[in-house]
Amino acid sequence: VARALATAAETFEQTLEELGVSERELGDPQELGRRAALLATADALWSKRIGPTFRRDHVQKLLGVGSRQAVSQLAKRHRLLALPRNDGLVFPAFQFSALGRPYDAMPAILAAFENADVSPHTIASWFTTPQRLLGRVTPATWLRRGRDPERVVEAARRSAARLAH
Amino acid sequence: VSERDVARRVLSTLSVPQDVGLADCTESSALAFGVTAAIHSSESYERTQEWAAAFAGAGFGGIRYLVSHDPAQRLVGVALFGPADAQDGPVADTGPIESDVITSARERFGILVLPTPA
Repeated sequence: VARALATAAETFEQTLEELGVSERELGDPQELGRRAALLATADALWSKRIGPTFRRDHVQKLLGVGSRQAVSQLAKRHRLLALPRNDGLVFPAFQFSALGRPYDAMPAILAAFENADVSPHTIASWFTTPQRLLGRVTPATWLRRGRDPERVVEAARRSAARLAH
Repeated sequence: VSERDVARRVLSTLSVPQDVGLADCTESSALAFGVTAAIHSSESYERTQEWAAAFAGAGFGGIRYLVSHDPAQRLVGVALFGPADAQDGPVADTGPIESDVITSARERFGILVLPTPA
């Protein structure tokens, strides 16, 4: 890891020099380094956090709907959680049961977050974060185990209320 | 947490219009009134709302408590009693959530703020 980091830092420095960025344009060097590291690793960190995702055509096949647009409509109507990516929407796998159907509680959970003004990524992260109301189990695991859907909806409401502003 | 969600929020310091007497649930002597540490982390909102109603009935204007999202139970919160929803109070200071707060949240609670695709 140390060698990879040294190479990354060296390449980062070289690239900045090639770009001809002045010291003033660089701003706070610590902030620059922190931001560069976050930008470079964000995709990997989100993937680790959220777990596997399905592309829109996969979900189309899973649900047996007629078009990819129909899948997007389900996301727009808050029936499914979709994450925007540069190459299109992806759908976290945790919202689908082993039979490939979305859990019945998904619309109510997503509705709970509707007024909280939070991004789909933050909602996805909530699904994989242990919740006290669920006995320190993540909502994704709670759903997979077939536990009480009302309770996970209530957990969503409480989290959304704290995030609302 | 998505960076966008942090950028869309601000941190404000508000002052209360008048002095408020708080029921201090962080004091050991509160035990004499039946308060235990469970009040800080109870998942039963009905129970904590009963306590709040009792304190309000006894003339308190709010409570001082240990916030449940701090497992170390060192952070203290204050809740003021009053009507539901947002209140118009004098805002002493307001501004964006600065990077030192974000760093502190990461170091203390492991909350990572990350950029997301547009």
